[in-house]
Amino acid sequence: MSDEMEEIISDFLIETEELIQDLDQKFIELEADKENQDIINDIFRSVHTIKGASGFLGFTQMVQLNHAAENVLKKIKEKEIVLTAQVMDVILETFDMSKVLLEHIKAKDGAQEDLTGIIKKLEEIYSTVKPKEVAHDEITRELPDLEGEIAAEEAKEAMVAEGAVESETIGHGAAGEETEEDASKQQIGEILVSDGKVTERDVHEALKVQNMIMDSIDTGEVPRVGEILTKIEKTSKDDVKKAVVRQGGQPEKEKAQTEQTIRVEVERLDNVLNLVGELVLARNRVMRVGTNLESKYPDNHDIAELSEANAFINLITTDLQLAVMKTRMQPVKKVFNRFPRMVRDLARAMNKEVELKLVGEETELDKSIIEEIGDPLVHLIRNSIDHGVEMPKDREQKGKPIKGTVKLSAYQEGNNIVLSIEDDGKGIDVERLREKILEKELASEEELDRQSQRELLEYIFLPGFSTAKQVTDVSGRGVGMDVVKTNISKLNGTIYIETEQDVGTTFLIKLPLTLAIIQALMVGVGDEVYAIPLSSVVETVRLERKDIKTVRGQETVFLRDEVVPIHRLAKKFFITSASSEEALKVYMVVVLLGDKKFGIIVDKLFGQEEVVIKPIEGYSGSTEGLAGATITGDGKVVLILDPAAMF
Amino acid sequence: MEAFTATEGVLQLVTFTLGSEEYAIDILRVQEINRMSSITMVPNSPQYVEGVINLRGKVIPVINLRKKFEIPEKESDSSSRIMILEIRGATIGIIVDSVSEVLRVASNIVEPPPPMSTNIAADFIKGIAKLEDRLIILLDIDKLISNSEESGFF
Repeated sequence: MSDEMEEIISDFLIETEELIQDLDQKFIELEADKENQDIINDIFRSVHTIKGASGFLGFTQMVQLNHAAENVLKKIKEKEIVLTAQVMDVILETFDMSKVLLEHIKAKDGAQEDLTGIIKKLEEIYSTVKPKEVAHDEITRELPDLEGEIAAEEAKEAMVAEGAVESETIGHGAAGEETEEDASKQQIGEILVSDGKVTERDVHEALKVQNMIMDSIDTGEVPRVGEILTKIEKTSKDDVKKAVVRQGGQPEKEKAQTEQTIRVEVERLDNVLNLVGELVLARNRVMRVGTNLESKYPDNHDIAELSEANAFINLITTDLQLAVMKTRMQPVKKVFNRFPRMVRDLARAMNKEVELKLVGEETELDKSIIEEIGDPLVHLIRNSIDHGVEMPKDREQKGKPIKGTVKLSAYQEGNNIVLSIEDDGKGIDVERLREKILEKELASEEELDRQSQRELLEYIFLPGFSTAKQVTDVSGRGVGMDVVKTNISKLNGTIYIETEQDVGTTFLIKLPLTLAIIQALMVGVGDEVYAIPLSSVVETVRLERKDIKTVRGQETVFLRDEVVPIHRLAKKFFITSASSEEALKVYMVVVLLGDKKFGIIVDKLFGQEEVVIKPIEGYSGSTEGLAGATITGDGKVVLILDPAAMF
Repeated sequence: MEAFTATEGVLQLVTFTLGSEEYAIDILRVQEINRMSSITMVPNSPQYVEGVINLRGKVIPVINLRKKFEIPEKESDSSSRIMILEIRGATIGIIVDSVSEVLRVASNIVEPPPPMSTNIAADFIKGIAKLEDRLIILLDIDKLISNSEESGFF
């Protein structure tokens, strides 16, 4: 297969994937607002586009499927079929099948799916229309195969010619654009005639053929004049291609306006980000040298100038870094989009009534976080619907609205993004949770008495922990919550739970805006230097020995009416240090994770630095309390601590 | 000798010393040989992991072969080297006393390791090359770093 073809198919895959994703979303919207003609039109257009493009590229099964769906949609559009939940189910199933087919195309495995079942279902729905429509139905039903054949053949031959206007062909397909297409038909013929490649008669003939096809296919993709001319061997595809290029040379106003985004390979962006990371490190180094020089030769004019230039470079680097970060930011909408469908399906499967509210979909997160956060969210939402929201009759008894609500929101909070999953269900039964903890011997009764509700809820995230009395196929197997927590920790995020019996449960996930570059507090222990992510640092305090009290074997500090447990980094890492128990004065870094607050005792505080997180080759355990390493201005490796995994 | 690249019965080896013994690694597995640089200790890692170093912007672990082979430790000096190897996709460094030479030996002079010949677990030894006046231990570096039960690393 030629590269050009590959490229076109990959464009097709990306676009179709996006379209199908949107379709799910739109359908859920439609279900809530059945009369909305705009949504129906949108959906219809998308399906039509998918069908057209697949037909063109010769993906016959895709055409058959979407054609059948299109027929039904058309009737919905014309209000001849009522959009019931059953109809919705079938159509959604169609899109699922489309996804499967798309995967086959992507994998190039040439596998075929059995479409008879789903197409039959679609046709059954279609046949509920008034009888006079049936005749029409039969004609159209014949078409997919025919179209597929034409397309398969033509895809090979005419692809080259189409390449230049492929965005037009694949991207649109709305009825409103027919006039525009007419204009271009005229043009392609004219260009070819003026080039002396074809006669005017040929063009007329081709147009006639095209019109014939157009009349018989009311919804299908109409072959282009260039293709027909090539097909009837009146001209070569090269000539058509040239003509098409020339045709494209007269830019359409509309097109110029829409070309405001370009697709860039992620790899390239990653590359730029890496380079910026290196630049940040180099800048740190230059800055350090500059500062040293300045203090050594305070009156040197050249050095003063160097410092000025340094300050400027500093500024630009920061801006550049921010700009590169922004190119990688994507709205959480991308993840949220799949949930309405999921919630609908789950609620239907469990006979519950659930409304999903999405808030702050436009909030942006780094691409890598967007990719990783989907699965944990799926799990939490399932959890809310399965364990949180009660059955309708239970809700009625409790005097709650029959329809349960799950609210998924995203918002920015300082340098973090907070995602919350809130349900108005039965809440977590803390008493049962206690029993369960005791039953599983995860803690003694005495220990539990000492713990706050928040701490008790933390047990939910332990591996193998599940409070569901029955295991359903949705959730409750005890795998999951610990995975959710691990996945979020991997992203340098934290998760905690708020719950109130019969009022509801909220899961709060706090994530950093970006992964690669973070602000860190550099601390010293013995001869070693460590970086603590600033996002979890609340403050630093200088302590005297008498401030440290031991409570039940745990060293603690009374900090502004709050008891804060402390940990000695030197002890944890087996380093000989000045901050041993005997030291009179030590520094404490106060860390807040979720609402867990504790102090880390260190020898020295070096200040704040921007560090680039680098993985350690061959190092896999975050269990050791390390989030990675970074390289400082002087070229040394400094380890970045992961307080969440450390104590 | 599948772990070694033999061209027409000739093995190309990089030899190095640890204490009084001479070792060799297939030349194609050695990326580069560096002087000692500042090593950052990694807490709670296996004892033979000396720490991590900065290899042109990459952070890689460094293994002290003396510790790994349970040879008494020795302060690094001007002849100490870090050999950068590629082991199962990961770049790692090993600290050796000194790097001697690049050697071409005929593969037929390599004999299987005799039982209990050294204090290195025989697992790491691929064979022993017998030269006129010396013996060289050929290491199987893939086996060197395979203890997956060790926490954190590998």
